Amino acid sequence: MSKRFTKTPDTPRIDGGVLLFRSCLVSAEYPGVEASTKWLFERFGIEYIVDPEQTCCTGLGYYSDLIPIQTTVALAARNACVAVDGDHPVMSYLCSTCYAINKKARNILDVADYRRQTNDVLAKIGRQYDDRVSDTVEHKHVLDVIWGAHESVPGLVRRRLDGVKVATHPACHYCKVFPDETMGDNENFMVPEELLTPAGAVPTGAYNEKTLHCGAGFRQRFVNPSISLAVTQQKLRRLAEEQVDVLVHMCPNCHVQYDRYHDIIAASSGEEYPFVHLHVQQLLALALGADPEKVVGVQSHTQDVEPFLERIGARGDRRQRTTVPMTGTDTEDDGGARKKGTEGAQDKATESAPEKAAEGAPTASGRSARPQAGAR
Amino acid sequence: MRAGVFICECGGNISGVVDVESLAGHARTLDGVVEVAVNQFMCGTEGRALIADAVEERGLDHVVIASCSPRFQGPTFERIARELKLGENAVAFANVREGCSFVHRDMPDKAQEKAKRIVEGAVARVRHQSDLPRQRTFLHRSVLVVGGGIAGMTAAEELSGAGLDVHLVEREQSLGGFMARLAKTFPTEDCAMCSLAPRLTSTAVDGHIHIHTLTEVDELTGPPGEFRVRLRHKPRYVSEACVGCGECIAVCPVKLPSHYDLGVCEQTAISRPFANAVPSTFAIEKKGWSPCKSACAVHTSAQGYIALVAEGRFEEAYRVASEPNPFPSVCGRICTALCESTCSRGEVDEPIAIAGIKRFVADTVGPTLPVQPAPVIHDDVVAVVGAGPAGLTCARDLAQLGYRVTVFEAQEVAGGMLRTGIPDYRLPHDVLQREIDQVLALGIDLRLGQRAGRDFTVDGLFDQGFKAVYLATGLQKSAEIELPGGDLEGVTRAVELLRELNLGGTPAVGDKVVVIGGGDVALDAARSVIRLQQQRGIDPDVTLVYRRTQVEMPANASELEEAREEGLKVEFLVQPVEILSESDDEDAAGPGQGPASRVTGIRLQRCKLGEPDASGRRQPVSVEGSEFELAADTVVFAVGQALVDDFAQGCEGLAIEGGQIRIDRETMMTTREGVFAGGDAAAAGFFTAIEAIAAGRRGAAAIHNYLRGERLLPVWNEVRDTARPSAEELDGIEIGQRVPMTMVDGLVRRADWAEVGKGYSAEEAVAEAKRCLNCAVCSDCGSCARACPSGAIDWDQRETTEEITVGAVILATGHRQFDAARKIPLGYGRHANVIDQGQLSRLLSAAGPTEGELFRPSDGAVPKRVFMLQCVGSRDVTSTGNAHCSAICCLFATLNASLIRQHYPDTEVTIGYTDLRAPGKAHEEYYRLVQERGVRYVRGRVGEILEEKDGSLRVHLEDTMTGRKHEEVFDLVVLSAGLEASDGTRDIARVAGVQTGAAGFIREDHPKLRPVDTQRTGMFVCGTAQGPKSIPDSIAQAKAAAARAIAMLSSGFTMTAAQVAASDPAVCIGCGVCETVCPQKAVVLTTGADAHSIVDPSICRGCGICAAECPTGAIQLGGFSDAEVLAEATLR
Repeated sequence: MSKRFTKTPDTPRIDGGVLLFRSCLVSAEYPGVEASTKWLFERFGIEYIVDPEQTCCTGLGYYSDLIPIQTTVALAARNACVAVDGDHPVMSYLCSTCYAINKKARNILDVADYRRQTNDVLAKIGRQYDDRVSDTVEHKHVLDVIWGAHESVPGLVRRRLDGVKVATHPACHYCKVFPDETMGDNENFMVPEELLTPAGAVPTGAYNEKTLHCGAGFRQRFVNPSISLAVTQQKLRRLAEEQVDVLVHMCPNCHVQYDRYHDIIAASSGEEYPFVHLHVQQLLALALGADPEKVVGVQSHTQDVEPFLERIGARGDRRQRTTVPMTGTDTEDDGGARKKGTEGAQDKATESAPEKAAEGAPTASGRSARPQAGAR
Repeated sequence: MRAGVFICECGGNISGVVDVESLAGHARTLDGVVEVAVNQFMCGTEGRALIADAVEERGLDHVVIASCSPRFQGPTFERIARELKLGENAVAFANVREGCSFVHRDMPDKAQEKAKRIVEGAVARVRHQSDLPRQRTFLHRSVLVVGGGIAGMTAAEELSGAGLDVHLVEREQSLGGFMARLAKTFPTEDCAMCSLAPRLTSTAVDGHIHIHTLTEVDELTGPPGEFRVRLRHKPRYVSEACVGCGECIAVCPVKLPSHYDLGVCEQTAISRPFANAVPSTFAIEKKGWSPCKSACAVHTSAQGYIALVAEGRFEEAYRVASEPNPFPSVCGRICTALCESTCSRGEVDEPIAIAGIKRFVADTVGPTLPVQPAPVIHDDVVAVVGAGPAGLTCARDLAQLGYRVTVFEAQEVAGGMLRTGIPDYRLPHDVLQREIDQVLALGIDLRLGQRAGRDFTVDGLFDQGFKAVYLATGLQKSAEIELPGGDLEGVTRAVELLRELNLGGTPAVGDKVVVIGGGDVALDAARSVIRLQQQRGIDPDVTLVYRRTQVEMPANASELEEAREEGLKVEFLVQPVEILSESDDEDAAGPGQGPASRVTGIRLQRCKLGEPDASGRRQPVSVEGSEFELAADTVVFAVGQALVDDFAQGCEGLAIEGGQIRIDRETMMTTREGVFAGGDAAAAGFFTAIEAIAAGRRGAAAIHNYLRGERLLPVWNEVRDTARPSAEELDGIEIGQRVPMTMVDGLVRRADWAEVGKGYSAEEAVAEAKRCLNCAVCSDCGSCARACPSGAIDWDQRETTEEITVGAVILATGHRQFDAARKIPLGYGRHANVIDQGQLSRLLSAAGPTEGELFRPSDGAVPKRVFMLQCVGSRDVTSTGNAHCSAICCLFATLNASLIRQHYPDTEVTIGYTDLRAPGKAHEEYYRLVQERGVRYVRGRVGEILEEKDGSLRVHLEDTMTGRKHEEVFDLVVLSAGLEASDGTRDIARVAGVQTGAAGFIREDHPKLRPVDTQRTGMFVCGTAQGPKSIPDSIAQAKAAAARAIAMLSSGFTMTAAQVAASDPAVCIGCGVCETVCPQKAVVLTTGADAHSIVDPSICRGCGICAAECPTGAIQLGGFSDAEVLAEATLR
């Protein structure tokens, strides 16, 4: 038994019937996460749809005490009906809030009284959450689906991550709300690192306070910012001790908390945390050769990820770029693609993000003075 | 039929739900029933009298008992029926308890109806029941006890006291089990070893107890009373001549975490766990051969010399490296080093630099050791033709065997291809010459400039009195170049170019050179040309052309890299088509006319890789229209070598085949009696230096065999299992990197012939050697054998098996501690100062590695604040799946805490517990006493344990009394890891076919009534193999199990069960389902065309699973015939 790593058991491959459940946070903050996921699904040959009938999960509203649980459950029931009626019953979540609230709703809907109440409401729109729906629908985190295809990863690597030390930030609402349904060890979640090791990434495994949350806490970030950011800083310190190069995320709540506040916490405390934040699907897509802007969407990040992209060879000579295009997207690389994102990703706190994203060449001199990630 | 129905109230268990009087009334109405009675306890004395009276007064011939399950009281009523002369099968059971009242408490009306139906069924079936035949089996008066811990030893002693023979089997190297590891025992705080040691001694000297250590039970078959057992004895590699002096431990270089001390200190590969071990003989832990040793052509124990280098014992390391190989300095430089390609460390990061370490040792020690001439023992003289690696090695081995040897060499220098084929910058000539001189110093006569076929003949050697001849002439010629323009001026062959260079000449090379080939020779030639050009003061311009890719290239990848650093250009997937000359340009003279003209270039063609051929290599396929030209004034071919076969003249009867000398691969003899061959010249496929050395060794053994008529079996002729660390072990290895060897810069080194790699310093070699993973544990360095004063080291021991027959079996295979590393947030295995209670016991034991001194592992300081955490891996369903309480941990922690408080009064101890459980005798009192000694008990759960920079531990604790969460910093954290079934328990359960329950513990046949019986007759269980328990409980259970075995065997025979299965061979189709489902292993399938199943009635316990599973109905269960079952179901 390894002392630091725990092996995640294999899960059956899911070939299709996947409803990629869109997330409000992903769409608004890091659309590249969704694009990377679609790009990966195509690489792995996983058939999926995005259904325009799908609504928001309302988890953020529920956890912020803005929306009553009955409303959230009714919407979950409706979305499950949408998935089953659309013949894509494997609901795959980009966000662990969507994941956990839908699973929680699933359990609530197994109670006859609540199901009846919910169906009374659904009847108004001609839907019914019956046994057919509950027995058919499946709730999966996108990582559950990708892990089923992990054996394909080694053959698809196009950009080595040799020597890049990655650590996982396990999403609380994936690992802690339904611990029995977590893949592998919920106290030492390893899937992101295991997906990336075939590309040469060095896994971190267990580290001090690995299970500590990101600090976001839904509305806590806004109503108790000092507590919220203290927790974030605590974790940043731990990761600096581990000398990681990338902290990989699996939930946009955490991703926002770390990416948007990393530089603020560093500046206000005078401490250095020399690593970057990327979503798992983003880093995996980079390793498999995806375009940093068109697919991975790094232009929406607040943190400067350019040195890291250079390190892994995603910013080499343009003629030798090894990017693999997205099916159905414009593959012409005219150099003008790296415009800043227009999805509202700008954060007032960090004006440097758009400016560096507009640059075609490596970063401005002020930034290159920062210690390059992993250059130990 | 005159049947009586006897209804039991079971003290309310039945009558509380079923109205027994009403049931009795119903029974009276049934056909054939003449008597009905009700009693509170039908199984008691009153009940028995009721039945007896009714049988006598009413003349009953059948009896129906409406009570509990026949599994519970069946035997009681069968015995009553036997006593009343009714016959056992005159009784039928109506299970109205487990089958009715227990499960239908909430619906008494329906239960009443069901009870009626059950009784009706039993009455209907009883009339069909007939007496079944029973057999008597004789019993062996001996017992197998599996497991040599306190339970096994206690049982063995009891059995021996009753005069039974005992086979006590233990898989570890000594008896003692877990108790031998404890410091003290609760609640009396007496020393564990003090109560264990006398028992160890008495067991060892007991004439009835046969002790089998390092032994496992492979098979356990046959009926109770006559179990056939196959034991597998693992080799100790130390014979009974061992006197236990411990000299071997002082010299063993292999250190591993101590098994006995649970990893708190190190042990050596040869070891004895503790002073009182039984048997007292040491043992060597040896898993086979290390991969490096298996891969080496002469099976050099690389792990052996690496282990010695890691300890700075360079001279001994040199002896290990040079014993099988006279050229360690040479091989440390130019060997293909298959040992490195297969090195397990390569799976973690980079393989050990085995060659670099070997080079360091050989260069450092080799020149300092004087060589004495070998004593001549035999009169026979042997001639060796060719002073290359094969010839010189053969000569050395023959000289060491006591022969006089003369070596004939055609060149004016010895060394063969090592000398003439490898340039100085890769293998300096003085290094080679030193090792040759050491070989010759054994008393070997070397004659230079003597070419066979020119200066002497093989036939002539025999005339001169040589008794055997070894031909090792090598392949000295380049293969023919069959290409247009191959005879042009400026076309040369690599072998010849290198020979000229190495013999002191300066080969003529042009300004633009193309080298063709992908082997070592091609690279050697290319890099030599670069140096020659540099010496001439021109900028080197050399292009290597190879028709496959770098992946298929036979040359070493690092060497190609070095060549590139020196400026070599490389073209892959290209093959030559034609060599161009001036005449081609002018297109005037045809090829082959006039004197050869000068090369001006080469026409090449691109290739792609096609399908793999028979050898598995992908063949290059030329791409049409891809031809191109490259300007060149010199073209060097390095494409194969050929035999110079002058010696064949004057050697009557020598056969050449395929350009090599034909030899018998068994005897190494050629077709000419007394003439042997090896190395490149012989048709045996040798082609690297180390393979030539191996050939030389085989040749010497073959010649000795031929001359002496002995059968020499060199160690490298046998194959042993290759041992590798498991994937789990590799996962735990910290990723690092090889110690880099200092290299001369590429552009600097190409200016001269100095060696490229500078070699390791002593510090570097030691650091690199310490990276070794000790794959085979014992490294085969031989240090212990050299140190042992009684010659007890015995490498010839092998695994053996033994068959024994015993009457009964006692399973006492014990537990293992839960692997606390599975609880990731607790940091066990990650944080140095998180240990478990077993490890703490070793640290607190006066006989332990610290002699009872407590220290924390990170810095050796005495901990001032100790925290113990309970229920790690017990009562923890969510993250470990272990629901059970491990029973001993509360008191185990209390004991260790008490010991700390008494020895270190300044040290505070806090125990974080879930619930404090102390139900054993005097346990609660002991708990109170230890509280008074100042141990602090906190009811709480721990979220995570964090390591601070100084190694102390920050514990996040939730106090479940107050509901508060707080943090505390401790110096040492001790986890009370729970108990799980040991690997031995899991294995024996599978082999013996006994059932296991939660956490793998062996399930007893009945939790109350048969607590030490397993579900297999004649097999008993005791100690922690059955479940977590304290030492007194283990001992009590062991005595109970022994008593059960004695009771069973004392009568000398046993009867088969009344209801057993039987198979009808005429109906059986031989599908074998019955064999797989039988929990008793009572069914076997015969082999052959008419395969059918046979049930052994002496094993069968009549469970009926086979009969239910049988697809054809061939198996019928006695007492459950179709007639009986149908009658019960249909009431007819």
